Amino acid sequence: MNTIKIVGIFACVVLIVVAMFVWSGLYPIGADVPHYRVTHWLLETLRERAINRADREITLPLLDDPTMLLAGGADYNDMCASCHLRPGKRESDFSVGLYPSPPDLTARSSTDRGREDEARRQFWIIKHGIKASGMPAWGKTHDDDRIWAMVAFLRELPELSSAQYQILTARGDAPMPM
Amino acid sequence: MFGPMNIVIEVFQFKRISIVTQRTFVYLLAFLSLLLAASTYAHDPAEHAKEVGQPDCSSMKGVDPAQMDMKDPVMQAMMQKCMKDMHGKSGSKDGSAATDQHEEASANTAQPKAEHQHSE
Repeated sequence: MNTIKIVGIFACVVLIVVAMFVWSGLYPIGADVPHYRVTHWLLETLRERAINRADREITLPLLDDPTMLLAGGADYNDMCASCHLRPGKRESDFSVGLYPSPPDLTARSSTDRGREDEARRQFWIIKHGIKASGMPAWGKTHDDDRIWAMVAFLRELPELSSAQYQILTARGDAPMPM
Repeated sequence: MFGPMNIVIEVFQFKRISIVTQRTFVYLLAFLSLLLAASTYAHDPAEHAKEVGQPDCSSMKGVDPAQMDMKDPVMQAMMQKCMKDMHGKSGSKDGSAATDQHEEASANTAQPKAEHQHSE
């Protein structure tokens, strides 16, 4: 009985200390101060586990379609390139200033995820966004077809040269299939 | 004295306002509705088309389609965009001309993607 009491009191004290810390405003909330290693690990694990669970049921359409590439490329250039970069560009104001810093999608993926798993994950992230990361939920204003077109483009992006990127992303008078 | 209360009274006494004032009010309302409706199309791809330029197809000029990997969707997409520059023909809006040429060329050859990527 005594042990329960001690544990209860300890839990209350911890709760009060945490509440006081939150209320005090002492937490360095600025994006120019990185997280502690433990906070970083916690948030990263939380994010990856949540996405892995959520994207499991997503069914992939055929993504090797040139019209999807053209639609997705133009959208990527308008909506994503300022943060996730384009071939030949290593950083931008957004990629440097945002925290956590947005991944460079022109680089080959360093994870061991398969091509299909990666596509599912990208679709889910584009559609739903990620809280407190600067990644918006594009699904609120864009339908699934348009998001899949962006995923189709993302699959090819790491292999594109600057010239190829320019051709694929310029809307010009190209057909608007989506 | 004319204050916010007077405005409220004016609005509630709408019937008493002259026909001219009523019309102005209706036009204003219609204009605001139009603005609101236009904003819902902000994510239409056609909206972005005003902001971006034409594809720079100089790297595709003089490229022989027979030497390309026509199974590669990137190459097919680039062909659709650069039909005019490559062949001096006007590519059809739906890219069907491009597709015809792809099929013709793919019958001749199928080479690895990496060999046909155009450098900057």
